[in-house]
Amino acid sequence: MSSRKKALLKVIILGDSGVGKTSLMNQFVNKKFSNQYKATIGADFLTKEVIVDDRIVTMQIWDTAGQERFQSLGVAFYRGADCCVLVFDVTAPNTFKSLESWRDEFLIQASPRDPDNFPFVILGNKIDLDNRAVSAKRAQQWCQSKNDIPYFETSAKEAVNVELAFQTIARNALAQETEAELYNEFPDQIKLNANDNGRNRDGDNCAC
Amino acid sequence: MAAAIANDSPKYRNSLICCSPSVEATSRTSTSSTSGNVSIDEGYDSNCIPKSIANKKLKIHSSATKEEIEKAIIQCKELVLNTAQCSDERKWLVRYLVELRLRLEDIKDNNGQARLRVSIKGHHFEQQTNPSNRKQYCDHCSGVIWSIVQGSYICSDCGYLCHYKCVDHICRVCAHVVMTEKGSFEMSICPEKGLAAQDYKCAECQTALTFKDMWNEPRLCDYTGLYFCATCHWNDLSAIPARVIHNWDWEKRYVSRIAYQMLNLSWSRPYIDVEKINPRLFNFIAELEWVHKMRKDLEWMRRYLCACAEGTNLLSPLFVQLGDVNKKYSMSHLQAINDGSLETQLTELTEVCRSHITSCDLCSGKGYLCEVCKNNEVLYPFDSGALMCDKCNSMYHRGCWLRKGQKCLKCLRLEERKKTVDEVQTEITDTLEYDIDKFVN
Repeated sequence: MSSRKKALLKVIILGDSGVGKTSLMNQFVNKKFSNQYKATIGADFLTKEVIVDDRIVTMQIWDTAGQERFQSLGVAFYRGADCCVLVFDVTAPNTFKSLESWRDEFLIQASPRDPDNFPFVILGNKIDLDNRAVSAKRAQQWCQSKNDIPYFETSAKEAVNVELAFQTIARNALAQETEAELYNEFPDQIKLNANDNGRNRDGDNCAC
Repeated sequence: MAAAIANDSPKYRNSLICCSPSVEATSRTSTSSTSGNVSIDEGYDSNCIPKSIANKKLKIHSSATKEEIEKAIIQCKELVLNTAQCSDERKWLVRYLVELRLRLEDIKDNNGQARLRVSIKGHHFEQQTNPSNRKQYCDHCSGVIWSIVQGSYICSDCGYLCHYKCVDHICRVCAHVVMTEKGSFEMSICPEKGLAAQDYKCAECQTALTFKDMWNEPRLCDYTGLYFCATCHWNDLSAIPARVIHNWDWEKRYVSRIAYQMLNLSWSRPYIDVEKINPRLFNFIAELEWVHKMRKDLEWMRRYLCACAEGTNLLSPLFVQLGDVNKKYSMSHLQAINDGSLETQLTELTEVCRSHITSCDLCSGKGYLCEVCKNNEVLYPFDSGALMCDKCNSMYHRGCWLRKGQKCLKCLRLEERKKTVDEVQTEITDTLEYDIDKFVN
């Protein structure tokens, strides 16, 4: 039963408009890139089968409209996501700054069982451009402060690191699924921070 | 057999009507024929199709082909572009677009076979593979689900159950979605507007309601204050949050299915801010006041325990819920206060934590000494006999504090010191300037 359930991974790509969410998805799934910008309407998804640790997994990758923000898509959309990919543009510092709010909002909307250990992946896109404004170190530091989120520098145009990033996304999402199954016997439980304190004692959720 | 089903149906629970073979059929046809209508209910506005786009014939029927859905997607996309950002129309259209895309994928995946997952109206339906031994009823048509011969879906978020054949016709938005987006309970007691305001239709499925039809009597839901038909209101009983907060009235009342699901789902979510909604309740319910005071102590203890490797094991879920800085209560907390179980639990809990903190080297090292009497008794912020200064966090015995004229000695001392330091500082800068002058010369 569990193997059938795991076959589909729901991955959601978020980030400000124009950072290259659609391009990244297209590069990964169709191996294509277009210089023309066309805003995504609402949300769209592509599926791709990948092999993770000798298992075939179908990734359902949801690309969202950057300007849609959260309230249009709503709780139902984010619910059941297995991994959340946050994208920013390394040439636009504002898109990096808004990562925090994207992450927070996602956690509120999706209300995953274990918010502190929910798999996120951060992608700094457009590294092929010369006018870089967010340094790798700065992005890395932010990711470390958020419970060690994996960080990749990608270029959808040149297909740099895209494959590697999505492999990590699939692997982390799958790990999350296996963990989630342990909880399945309590379908309606509400996740409290208590148990996390036991697991990671770096104390960032301690109020003193 | 048909008579047996009708007789058995949960919708006639506590109803005057006991059995009729024809009811099932009539109520079902009327339900499905009206699905997709505009709702007049304001409460669920964001989840129902907004009036301005209701005439665009967006809804497609359940057996639509691939081409039809593709067309609908294109139409929906165009409409999205024509609506303002963050408007209700936009919201509805975007969500509908997502549903359409998922449906298209379903059709591509398995041609005509029963779908593994269905996403509709915020629900995430999964096939029920091993139904429980208890008899189950379809939330849509309220008929029995004969698990051996009939397939069924269950929503993984709200627990909505329905037949395979009913899944495309359902009218109820997922209770989890409604409650999570709202983030609070209805806090006015049964906000009834009357049947006329509902256009004499069921608030959920839009079936016409009349008093003449004994088989489909209008039923009032005590939580939402709306009228429902017998298919959407099974006379489930539940305590009502608004009545509890305003009247401490725990009597169970009849609620609609949607309200029942919403209340059940959110029963242990901390949604109720008693301090804000009805602060006077504390005066009337001594137990509640006691718990509320206890929560401040818990908050302090939590800070001690968080920083101690051994102490973190003591952080039980209850502790974290109640020791949280936000002072909200869940219905299950209030219920436990009402039946007295929370009081005993809390007393035990605080006893255990207190004994840990006072005996643990790490925790007791973070205790305080009284600023006045300087005897070696270690004070903690959660001691009832101790007081803490809001400004400088120094601690006093209650008695010492009163004796010293209710002023914080440390604050006074700090102020004095600041004054002298300022004086010295000006002197120092003077001399410095002098030195530099000398050096330059």
